Amino acid sequence: MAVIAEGLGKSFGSVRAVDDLSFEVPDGVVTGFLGPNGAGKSTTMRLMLGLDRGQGRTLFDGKPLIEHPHASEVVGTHLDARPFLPGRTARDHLRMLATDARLPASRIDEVLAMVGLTEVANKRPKSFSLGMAQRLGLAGAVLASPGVLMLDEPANGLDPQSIQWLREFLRSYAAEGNAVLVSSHLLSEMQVMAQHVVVIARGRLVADGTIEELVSERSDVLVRSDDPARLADALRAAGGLVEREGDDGLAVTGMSTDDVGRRAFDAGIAVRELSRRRASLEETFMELTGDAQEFAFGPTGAAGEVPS
Amino acid sequence: MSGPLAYEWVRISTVRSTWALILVGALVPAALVLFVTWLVNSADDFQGGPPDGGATTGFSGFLPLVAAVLCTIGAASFGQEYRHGLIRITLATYPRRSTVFAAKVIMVVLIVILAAILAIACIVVANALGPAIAGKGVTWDTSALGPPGLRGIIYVVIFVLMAFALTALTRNQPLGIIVPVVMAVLIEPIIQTVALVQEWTWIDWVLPFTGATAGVGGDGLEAWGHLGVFFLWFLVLAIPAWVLFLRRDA
Repeated sequence: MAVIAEGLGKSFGSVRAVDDLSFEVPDGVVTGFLGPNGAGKSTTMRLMLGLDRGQGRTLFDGKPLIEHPHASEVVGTHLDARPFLPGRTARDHLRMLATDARLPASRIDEVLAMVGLTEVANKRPKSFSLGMAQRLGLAGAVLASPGVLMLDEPANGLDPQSIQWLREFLRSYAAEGNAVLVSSHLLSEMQVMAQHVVVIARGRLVADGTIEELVSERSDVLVRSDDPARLADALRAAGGLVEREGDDGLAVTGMSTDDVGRRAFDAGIAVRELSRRRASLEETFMELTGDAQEFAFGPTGAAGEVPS
Repeated sequence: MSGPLAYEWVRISTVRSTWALILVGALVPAALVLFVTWLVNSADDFQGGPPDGGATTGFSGFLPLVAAVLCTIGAASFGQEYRHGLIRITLATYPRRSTVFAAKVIMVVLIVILAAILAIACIVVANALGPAIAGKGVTWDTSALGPPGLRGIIYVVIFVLMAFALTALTRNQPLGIIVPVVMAVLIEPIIQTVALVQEWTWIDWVLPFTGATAGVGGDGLEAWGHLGVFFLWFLVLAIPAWVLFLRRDA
């Protein structure tokens, strides 16, 4: 059940939080939703679900959510860290959410066991740790086996084992043909969890594609030679974008390592090093959103400077 | 509609405070009635009372206390959801906001009707037991079984709905509880005093809580008219609350 967001927009006073944002969350893969603090990720998710009022529309399997008879079977959400009443037991919280799809009690037991909360099912979650709260939120999201999952920072507060479990769970959930949209600040985690990413900054779309596509665009080939100037000319003539790196190095984009090696061989230039440098998702993210962070930190060196 | 109603039923019935408030709303006024009737009927110089010998307090005078306790059930209907961020889950599960609003009203009304019947029944029993304990025999106040009892239930329901609507309007649960109670026990009596001096005889038709209290204890069409005005005041709060619920961010 693919999700299509079209022309989403939202202002808070004079601040444009989300601006003409369109993207698709495809079936069968985990889509990472990335952006710096204040980029508008949470607002976008709320707009998609009709929780916030704004411009644009979001289609779930071709229809707005409100037109589906049972919304909980369409989309499961986990948007807040502690989305439950502290005095209502975990089981009763899920019983409440099960009313839309008229799920049996056995399904509640099933998801409680899945997220590892069976032992505390009849306890009130006011004493739950952040990790347990996240698990209960996730249990609520998957309760009706929806075709779409939308999770806002679900890995916050989880220990490494739980994060690994979450990663495997979401990938297998998506592999069953479901659409999964996950926002996170943990870029290293996203790199292994998501196959597709949507990156926004200041409420606008800055990248949308597979991680491989985004990272490849920002990867280059490093080549070192005794005659870098002549090699640079040969590579430029072949269509490569070349930048000098150090005394003997060239950073080449737009060409594969094979192409660079062949051009050097054809030009009769000896090569001492030839390697592909793959950008990380973090480097790609920083490049895409570098100047869009709200409330950015100052330079780290400033902490040690004493005014004279 | 059955889904949102079932959701509301689980929501309201799985919170311990709902049941605690229903019990407090029934037992505390009944205990007061029992104490007062026992005290009055035990007094040596007591000469009056109904033909069978016992004096009762009636039930209508204690309904504001019942309503004030049950206010929290009405206010929590929206208040808890906004306070704990549950409203987003609710509206993601049931995106039709008018249906959610209607389900909340219906469930609050049903619960409060039962709570009010229980409270009135407890007061009637306490009224019967007070004189009996004082040795004056059992005295049943049967007025609660007729139109006054029905008006009493309606009074409590609308009082609680006022708290519901105020909380929905302001998204502030304490305000939703406090404002109706303060209006009923403080502000309106002050206005009434001023009205007495100024000879504003129409004031009971304008003040919601004063008029409604008069309506419960009154007679005929005028009594129902007072409750009608009380309901209009509820609509004055509920309609903007509903419109804003449709338009505001969750």
